[in-house]
Formats: sequence, C-alpha cells, structure tokens
Amino acid sequence: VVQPERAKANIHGSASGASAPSARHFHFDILLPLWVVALLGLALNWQQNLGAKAVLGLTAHTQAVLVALSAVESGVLGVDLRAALQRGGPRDAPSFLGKYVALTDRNLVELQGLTIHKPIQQARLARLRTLIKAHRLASGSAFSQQKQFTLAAILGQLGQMQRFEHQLLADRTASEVRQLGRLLLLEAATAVGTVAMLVLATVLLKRERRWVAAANSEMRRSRARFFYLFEHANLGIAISRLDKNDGGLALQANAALANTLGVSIADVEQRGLTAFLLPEGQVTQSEALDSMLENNQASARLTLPYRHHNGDTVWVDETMILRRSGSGGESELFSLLVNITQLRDEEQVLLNKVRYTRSLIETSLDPLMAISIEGKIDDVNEATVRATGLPRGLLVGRDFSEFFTEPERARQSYQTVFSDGVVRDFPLTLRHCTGTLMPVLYNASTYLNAEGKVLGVFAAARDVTQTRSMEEELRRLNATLEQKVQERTADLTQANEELESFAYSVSHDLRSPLRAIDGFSLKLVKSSGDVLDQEGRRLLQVVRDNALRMGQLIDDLLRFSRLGRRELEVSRVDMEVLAKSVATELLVLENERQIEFSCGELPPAQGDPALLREVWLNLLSNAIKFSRRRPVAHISVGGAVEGAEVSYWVKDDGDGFDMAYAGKLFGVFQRLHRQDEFEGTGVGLALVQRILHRHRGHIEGEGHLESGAIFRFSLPSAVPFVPGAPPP
Amino acid sequence: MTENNYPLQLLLVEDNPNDAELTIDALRETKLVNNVTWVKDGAEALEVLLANDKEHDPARLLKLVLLDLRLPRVDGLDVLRAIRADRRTKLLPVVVLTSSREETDLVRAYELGANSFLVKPVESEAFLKAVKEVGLTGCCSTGCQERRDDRPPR
Repeated sequence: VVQPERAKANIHGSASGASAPSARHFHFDILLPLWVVALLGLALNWQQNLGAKAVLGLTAHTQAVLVALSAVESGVLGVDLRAALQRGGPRDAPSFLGKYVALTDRNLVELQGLTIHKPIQQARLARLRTLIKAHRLASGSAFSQQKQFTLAAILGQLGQMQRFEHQLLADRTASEVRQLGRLLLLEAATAVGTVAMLVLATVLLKRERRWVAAANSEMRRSRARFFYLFEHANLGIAISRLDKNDGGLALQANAALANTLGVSIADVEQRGLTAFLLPEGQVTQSEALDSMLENNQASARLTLPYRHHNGDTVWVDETMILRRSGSGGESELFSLLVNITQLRDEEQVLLNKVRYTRSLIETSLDPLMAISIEGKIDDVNEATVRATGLPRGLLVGRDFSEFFTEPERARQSYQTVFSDGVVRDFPLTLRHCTGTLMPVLYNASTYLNAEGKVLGVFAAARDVTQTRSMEEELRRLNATLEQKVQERTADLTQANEELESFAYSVSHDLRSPLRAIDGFSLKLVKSSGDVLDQEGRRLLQVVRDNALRMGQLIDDLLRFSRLGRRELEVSRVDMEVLAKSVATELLVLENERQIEFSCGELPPAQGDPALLREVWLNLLSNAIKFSRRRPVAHISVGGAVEGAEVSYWVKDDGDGFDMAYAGKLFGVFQRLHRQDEFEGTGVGLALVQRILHRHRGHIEGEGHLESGAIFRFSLPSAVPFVPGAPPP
Repeated sequence: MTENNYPLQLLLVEDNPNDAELTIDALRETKLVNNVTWVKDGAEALEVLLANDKEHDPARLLKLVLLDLRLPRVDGLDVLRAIRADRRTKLLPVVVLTSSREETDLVRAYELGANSFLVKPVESEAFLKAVKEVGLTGCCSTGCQERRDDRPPR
C-alpha cells in the first residue's frame, strides 16, 4: 500500500518540475486509473492467496477430525476385542483396557476441540460420548445384548461423523480448485496490466522529457526577449533591491534610464537611482515607498525631479512596482521612468496660454457667464462675483435667471439665444446679494464644440447703471426742454396772437382817423368848393394824398406782418406759368407803355403758390416801375436748376440803383429812390425776402445806376415744412 | 334823417360818428335810401332787429343792414350770427363794413352769411354796386321774390 503512494508522490514531484502544465496534468490523469487497476489486481491476488491458504488449513483440519474419529473407533473396537480375548484370561486385562479407555477419552477431547465450530458434529460428539459411556457400563457383562447394541450405535454415530467430515472435505476441495482457477486468471490479468503500465510509463516519460526540453528553450527565449526589451525599451527601467540599510541599490538599469540621466548604466547601478533624485523628490519618493509598504500596495506612480548629469532637472513620470520576496527576504523594486520634461514644458506653455485667456475673461469688467443648455451656470468671472456678491461656489450650478429681478424675462431672452443664436442689448436687472440692483444690457450667443453642437450660452451683462442715469438725466433734460419749448411756443403763440390783434387794432384804429381826414376833406371840397380858392383846394388835395399814402403804408405793413406769419402750404408750383400770368396782369395795366417782356424756361419749384405769386408780383412790378423812364423797356425772366436749388432772375433795363446802398434793398420801409421819383412804401422787397427766407431760399439784387437791375432768387428743390415761424 | 321818397329802408350799425356821417352822406347821394336807422353798437342793433313788438316791428320794414364789424358791447359778427339765427331776419341782406380788404374778419363774416362788403369810407358808387350785388335794385330778382314769400303776412 505504501509503495503506490510513493510512486504517486514521485509522479507529482516530477510533474511539478515540468514547465508545461497541460502535459503534466494530462499524463498524471491517464496514469491514475492504471495505478488503481494495478493496485486492485494486487489486492485481489493477495486476497486469493489468503483464501487458498485457508482452504488448505481447512482440509488439514478435516483430515485431523477424521483421524481422531478413526482413533475413537479403533479405541472403542480395541477395548471390545481385548475384552473378548481376555474373557477369563490374565490378570493384566484391566490395565490394558484402561489404556484404551484413556486413549479414547483423549481422542474425544481432541475431537471436541476440533469440531468446536461445527454445532452438528458437537451434538453428534455429545451423543457419541453418551453412547461410549453407556457401552463402558455395559462391558461389565460380557457380550451382552446391551453391549452389542451400544457398540453398533457408537459405530453408526462415528460413521455419521466421518461421512460429514468427508463431505466437508470434498466440498472444500472443490472450492479450492475453483479458487485456484480464479487466482490464475487474476495473476495473468495483473501481469498484463503491469506490462501495459510499464509501456505507458515509458511513453509518458519520453514525452515528458520532450516537454521539459521545450519548456527550457521557451524559457530561454522568453529571457532573451525580456532582456531585449529591457535593453532597447524607450522606457527607463531600474530594478533595485529594497533594503532598509542601503536604501535601494540598483541591481540593474537599462540604457534608456542611463540616457535620461546622462550617465552610464554602470553609474546608475553603482550609485543607485535614488542618488540622482533631487532632495524634494527623495522626500516624495520615500513617503510613497513607506505608504506602499504600509498599505501593502503593489505599485505607485509619481512625478519626480531628477538631476541630469549636466545639472538640468529632468522631470520623470515614475511607476514603482514592488515585488515582495516570499519569506521575509529582500524585496525588489522595479522603477519605470518616462522623461516628461518636454511634456511638462509644453504643458507649461499651454497652461500659460490658458491662464492668459482666463485672465482676460477674469479682467473683463462685464459680468460673464457660461450657461448650460438647462440654464444652469457653468462658469463665471470675477466681475460676476462682484456683481452678485456671491462666491463662485454659490453661483456655479444655480439657475442663471435667479440672479435677475425678472427671471421670467431672463429665461425668455435665453430662449431667444437658442432660436436666433444671439441676443443683443436685452435690458435686464441684476440683483446683488445685498439687494442692490444693477441695470444691465444682456448680450449672449451660443457656443459650440468642435462638432458644432451647441454646448450652452456665453453671456455678458454690461453694467449700464451710468448709461442709464445719463439717459435718465438726458430724458429729464429733454422733458424740461420740451416743457420749455412748449412754454416758449405758448408764449410765442400768445405773442403772435397779441401781435396779430395789435396789428389789427393798429390798422383799424389808424385807418379810422385817416378815413375821417380824407372823407371830411373831400366833403369840404364838395360842399365848399366854390368858397375855396385854388390854393385851398390844392392844400386839401395834399391832405387827402397823404391820408391815402398813410393808408397804403398801413396796408403794406399789415400785409408784411401777415404773410410772414402765415403757415406755408407747400405744393409743386409751375413757376413759368405763375411768372407769365403775373406779368400779363401787370402789363395790362401799363398798356400805354412800351415794354418788351421775355420769359425763358423756368424750372418748377416747391413752395406756397400764393406767397410765390407775391414774389413775382413784387419783383415784376418793381421792374415795370423802375423802367418807366425808358421809351422801350426790356424786362426778362429766366431760371435754372443749380444743384439742390432752383434759381430764377428778373432783369430790367430801368434806372437801377447804386450798389453802395445794396444793403438797404431788403429792409422794411427802406427805399433807394425818392418818393417823387418812384412811389412806394419800401415794403415790397422786404416782403419778398421774408417769403424766400421762409422757403429756406434767398435773394440778391445787383444794379447800376441808369443801367438796370437784376434780382436773383433761389429756392431749395424740396422745402421742409416750417410751421408758423415767428417773424425775425 | 327820414326821406320818404326813397325806396329803401336801411339799418346802419356804426360806432364811429365820423364814419357814420360820411356813410350817410354817401347813401343820400345815391338817392336810393329813404330811411336810415343808425345804431351805435351791436346790442342796440339787435334790439331794433329782434324786437318783439309786432305792431311796430322795424325789422319788417328793413330791406338792408350795413354792419360794421368792430363794435362796442356786442361784436358785429355776433350781430350777424343773431340775424341769421332768427327766422324773421334770416334772409335779410347784410353788407359788412370793413376798414380794409385784408381783414380776416371778412372771411368770418362771409362764413356767417354776409351778402356783401364795403371798404370804408363808403362811397356812393361802391354802395350801389353792393346793393346790386345783393339784388335789391331795379326789377325784382329771385332774391326779392324769395324774401317776399318768406315774410309774414301784413
């Protein structure tokens, strides 16, 4: 039993040495049942051997019983024979008998022992003993009936016992033969099994040898690959012994690592990686190592500064992997180093850019907000913090509309941004946490990611407090101004009305005495004409003439005042038709004079037709009046479009005037001629100039004594509407 | 100032005595007016025109009113308005007296139903022209006819 156990252990041991685990399990699994079969065979064999030995023992036992039975028989029979021979014979007979009796008893005892396991034989034996005892009692009497009967019974009994034993023997022998056959078969099978096992074992062993060889070569290749990788990796690798005493001596370092530090591999291996760490890095690293050991971590990642051979700092992304030894021995530390100096520099540049951009946002005086699609504040700048009085932490994540006095309108504007992409100068009011309100103009547009998807809204709320107050001030001033204008207009209107009423009164009240003077002078002439002499009548005529002239003056003055105040009724005026019709009217009155009138093509004008008619009337009547000393007067009218103006002129070849007094031409009651030369009130040209001024036009006159005059006036092509302008 | 032979009875409303005298002179010159009633202000004019005394209703006899517009107390335009508002005098011809053609009141007077106007001082020729204009001289015009129909029976 022990041997197979050891064999199994051996297989297991060799299997554990194999490098190919699948193969190891494979042949172990095949061999196990074979071993079981073999062991079973051996066990059966052994059991059969034991059975055979038992059969042999039993046979011997049966033989012994038979011998003892025979001995008992012969003992019994011997006593009887002696007794018969010695009837009446020698005196030594009793001792001889006694010998037989003792022998028989001994044999009976032996039988007793031999058949102890066979109750049938024991029962028979007990009867035999009884019979023998009875026989011995009967042997006192010679050859009695009794004696013969018991002897027969004894013999019968013995025979019975002998037949039983014989039967038993026969049975046992047969079973022994059968067992032997089985044994033979089993042994043959066991032998065959063993041979098969041996063959299999041999095959397996060979195969295993191949596996081991393959495993060994794989291991060599794997090692070679590892070394190749180690040597050529772009990644700095160091393997150090983690010993508390020497603080991480480098066992092995690769070229990439040495290159990173600007030293040789040997340098690193001799001095250890830690030697190249800058002091602050050493602290970081040892803390990390302690933490790894304490917390049973397998690895840690750090960013550490190393000193390059040339003195530069090399920043390294270092991964430390701890390999613990199995039983308290030394542990190993694998350090994987990536030089990130350039990355860090680039990152710094990028970071500076980001900081710069951010600083611009932060410096902005406008509160800026990045708002998510859901309307939650994602980001704010310093101005927003100032405007709301809340720290960033309390702003980010909140609904942006909360910070406005009208959240509903704020949200509306926000929706507009999404529908229109932009909102400009939307007026809202931002609330400071202290309750102070800040009017702002909300400007916002959507911002997109690289794929053009809308991420949210970027909003600026411009503080328009100052603008608002200025606007307010402006509005107030405007209102004040408006009020002042209204007051002034009212004053002016009133003044105009007063003037109108004054003019009316003046004309009415002045005319009344004039009428009386004229009327009564005339009455005097009519009623007392015969009483008055020539001189008296002349004087009365002078009185009347002056009254008439004064009436004209009053009329002209009133006309001048009225036309100046009249509202312009502007329409398109055909100046040619107007000028010709006025000229015709005037020329009819001068039918005894010779006047050559010519009119060129006149451009149309925009203006009040009645007033423009007044202009033509005055200018043409002046031309007719001042040319009356010419035998044939020449009056011409012309016009032209000049840019944004239309201009017209009236020319005559009359008496003209002295340009030295040209400044007085357009003054009211200003005259350049004596009354006895040319009648007139001096209102005509003043009226003309006033009408043209009211049309935003102008007039100028040019004349030379005795050689005529020309008056040019111009009007803008489009006359703006001017409501009842006050007289200048 | 009554001259029975003259066919026309006339009411002169004029506050200025000089003007009134000269006007009456001119009217007399025309030999057309037989009776001029001269009142010096609007209130007086209305008393004469709209008196309730049916026996001595002067308005019935009146053929023409010469009305100055600038009057003390009741203004000429108000007098005109009252004349046109009363059934009895609605169709009475009214000639407005004005000191100038330029008067804005003239426009108002025509709007209120004035039939003609005369610029003071009134001259006989101008008066005759005006009388013709309102249809009171010579053969009876349609205006005469209408007025007769409209008048209450004697």
